[in-house]
Amino acid sequence: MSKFLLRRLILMLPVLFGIVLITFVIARSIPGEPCTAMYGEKATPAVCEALTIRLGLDKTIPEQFVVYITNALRGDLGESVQRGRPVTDILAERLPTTIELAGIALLFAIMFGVPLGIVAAYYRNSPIDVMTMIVANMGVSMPVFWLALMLKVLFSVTLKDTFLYLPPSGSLPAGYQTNIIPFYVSWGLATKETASPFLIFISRFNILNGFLTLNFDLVFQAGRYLILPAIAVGTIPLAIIARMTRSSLVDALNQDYIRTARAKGLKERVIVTRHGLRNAMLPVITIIGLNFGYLVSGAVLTETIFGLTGVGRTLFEAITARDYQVIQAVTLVVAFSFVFINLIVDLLYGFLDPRIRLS
Amino acid sequence: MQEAVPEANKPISLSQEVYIARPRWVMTLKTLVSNRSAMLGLFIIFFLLMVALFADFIAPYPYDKSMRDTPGYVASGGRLPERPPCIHALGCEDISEHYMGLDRNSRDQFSRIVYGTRISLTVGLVSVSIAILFGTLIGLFSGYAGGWFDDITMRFMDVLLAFPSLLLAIAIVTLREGANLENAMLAIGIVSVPVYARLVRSSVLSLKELEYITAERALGAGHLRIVFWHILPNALTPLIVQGTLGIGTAVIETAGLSFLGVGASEPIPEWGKMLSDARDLFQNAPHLVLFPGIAITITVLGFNLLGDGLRDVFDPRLRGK
Repeated sequence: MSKFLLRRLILMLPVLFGIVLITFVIARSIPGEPCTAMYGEKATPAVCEALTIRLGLDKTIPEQFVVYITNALRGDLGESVQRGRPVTDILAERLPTTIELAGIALLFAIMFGVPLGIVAAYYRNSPIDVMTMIVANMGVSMPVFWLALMLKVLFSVTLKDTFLYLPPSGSLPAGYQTNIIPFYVSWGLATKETASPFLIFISRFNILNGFLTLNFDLVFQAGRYLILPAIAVGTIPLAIIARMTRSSLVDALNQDYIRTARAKGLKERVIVTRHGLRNAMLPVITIIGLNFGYLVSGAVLTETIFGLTGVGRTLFEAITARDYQVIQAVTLVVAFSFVFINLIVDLLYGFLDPRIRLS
Repeated sequence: MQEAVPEANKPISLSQEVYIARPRWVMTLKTLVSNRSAMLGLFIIFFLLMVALFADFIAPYPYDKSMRDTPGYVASGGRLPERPPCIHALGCEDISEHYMGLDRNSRDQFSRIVYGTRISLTVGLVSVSIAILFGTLIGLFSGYAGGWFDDITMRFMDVLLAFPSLLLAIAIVTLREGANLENAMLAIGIVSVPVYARLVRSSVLSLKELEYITAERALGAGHLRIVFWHILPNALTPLIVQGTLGIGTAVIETAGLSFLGVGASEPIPEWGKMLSDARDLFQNAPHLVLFPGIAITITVLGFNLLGDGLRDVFDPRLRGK
């Protein structure tokens, strides 16, 4: 197993380098001058020249790449042209919102998707199966931004005066942010002034922070604001997971070993979970890993709609403003996390299927 | 009096006793027809094809015609540019009927949705064809060859897959210097190549170890014959499911690109573009958000249902169960 892990880790290095390279090339290839995008009418030649030198854009492209990589290894991802702040700071501020959104969306997708798929596969061709698959098919067929807009219309406009009302945008009620006590303060680890960047980063996960400080009102409030975006972002993965679970489990349940298991007189529950599901999980886990992209695209498209200040929104704004450094950094972080998620998926393969582990 | 022939000695009637093999496609077609979701999907796709083909006859107005220019339209009370659906049978008093209302440029939304069918079907088919063609080839050879070739190809696919497809598509569109529909199609096609490559490869990996491939090799079959004749057909099922799903995804992603302003440009009636134009009007003119979304959903649903059905039909292990 450790040899398998080592091989995968070594194979990852060229991928990570490839990502850095592609990110760099893409960010440099986006047409339009950052100067005009940033200063608009005030972009005089003198201003632009100063900016070009400050950003190092006057050097040759290979030189820029070397500088970029050296800095990135030191944790310096450059400075946002648009905001005049280090990109790392912006990311540290905004990543938690997106991670929380994606996490809840994925949780929602798996919690509903896998059981739906199991039920549909077990009662194949029954009305339950047909209904489930129609719902799953509807879910996968909706554009995420349309779903987001419709959820907003339904829960924030139509149901405005009922208990089902959900806030249309933002991440916490107005003024609530000031009442939040970070977990490191209530645990006595540090004060707000002395806290390390890592502690501050962790404390920005509102729901996690709520649990850590036993502040369940915070969990509730933050959750209320995240429900609609999470449903919007999670619906497509949910439907895909349900479809994949169904089709994969149907395959597994048709195998001879299932008939043998039945002949042995095993309980149906054991047959489905231990013999069927375990063999059917491989494609499902692949599809969950591949769905990371849907989560991120979903975040890019929905964060602006729901007024969440996450990475998706940052990226969208950066593309509009030609903010190279931010585009690079966000892409880099997203792509790197995808590689590591894939690594976990690969390791899970080995865990679920001994044949792969041995080869 | 005729002598009774004992039962055992009666001549066998061939037509009754011998199983007559029917061509494979007849069997496939029969299974397909008996599959309800496939039929529903096929019906939806057929319906959309008809709409796309006969858009000129179905749409009451050109997709780029502003109703404010229509003589007598202003007199009939064309107050707001974006107007709710107006149907004469339901008491609408306007000169002209607008089943889905007017958009913010006073164009007939029903006509735009009808013409949009052409756009979305084209986008879906073209981009998925690009993706399947390259993805399958890469996956087949990479999985079959194994070794360093497999490693390098798959690492490259991993690099591509590591980017959110939307972002990569935006990048490709910008690299091609211009936000238009052709670039969007190409971008979405390229972006989904790794998905097919991985899918085909994972099938190949498990298939090439099976006994019938070893047997085939022992019989002296060449690599190309094994890959295309014995592995590819058995790797098709997940490809079909993913491919049909992919047409839907392509339609949605094009809509997403247009929504972000890097897809279709004015006055092309692309559904995502229509949603993008209407996003800030959702409180006052929800009909402008509602209908393009429904159109996208129905289109994608059609392909998904067909894909599910085809999967059941093409997988012999499921047949007749």
